[in-house]
Amino acid sequence: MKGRYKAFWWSLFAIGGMVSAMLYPAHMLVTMLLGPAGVVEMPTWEQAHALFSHPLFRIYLVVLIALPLFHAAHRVMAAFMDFGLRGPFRNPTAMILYGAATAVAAFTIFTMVRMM
Amino acid sequence: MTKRYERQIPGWWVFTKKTWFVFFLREITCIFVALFAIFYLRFARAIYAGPEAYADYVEKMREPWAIALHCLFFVAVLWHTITWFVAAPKAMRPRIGNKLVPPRAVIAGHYAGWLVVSAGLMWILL
Repeated sequence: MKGRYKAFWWSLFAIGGMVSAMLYPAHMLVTMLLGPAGVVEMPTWEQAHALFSHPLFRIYLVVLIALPLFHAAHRVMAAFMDFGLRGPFRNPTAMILYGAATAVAAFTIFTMVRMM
Repeated sequence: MTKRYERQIPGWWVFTKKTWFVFFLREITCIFVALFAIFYLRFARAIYAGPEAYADYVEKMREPWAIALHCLFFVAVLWHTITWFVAAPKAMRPRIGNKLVPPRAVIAGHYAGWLVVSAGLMWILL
C-alpha cells in the first residue's frame, strides 16, 4: 500500500506537518494554557458556539484536525521501521496507522457537517 | 535457500548517540500533534453538545494536572514547529532568478509567516 502511493501519503505528511507547525502553538497557548489557567477569559459558550458553528471555521477545523493526523501516522510508521519493523508485519501496521488517521478524519468531517 | 542477512542494530540505538536522540525527540513530537488534534475535536464536540457539556469540559481543563500535562503538550508541539522550520530548506529550495534562496532565509520566512499567522489566530480566539 505504502510503496505504490508513497507520494500521496508523503504529501499528506508534509501538509499536515506544516498545518500543525504553523497553527497548533497559538491554539494550544490560548485554549489549553492561558484560558484554563485564568490568564485570559475562556470564551462563554455563546461566543465559542458562534465561532465554531460558522461554516468557514468548520472547514478550517477539518483542515486543522484531519491533516496532522496523517502527519503523525507517517512519523509513527517511520519510527516503527527505524526500530526494525520488517517483513510480514509492515503492511498491516501501515494499514492500521493510516486507517486510524482516515477514520478519525472521517469522523471529524462527519462532526463538522452534522453537529450544530 | 540462501541465509538472510540480519542487521546487528540494537533496539535502543536512538539512545546510543546524541544526534540520533535529537532525531528521535523530533519524531516523537508527532504523538503530541495527534493528541492535540483529538483534544481539539473533543473540544469542538463539547461546544456543539451544548452549554453544560462545554462547561464540564472547561472545568476538566482547569484541573492542575490537566494544565501541567498541557504544558508538556505545548513544549512538544513547539519543538515540532522549530524542527519543522529547520528542516524546511531541505524540502524547499526556492530560486529567485537563477539564484538559490539561502536556507537561512527560507527558515526566517517560515518563522515570519508563523508569527503573522499566530497573531491573526490569537486575534480571532481571544
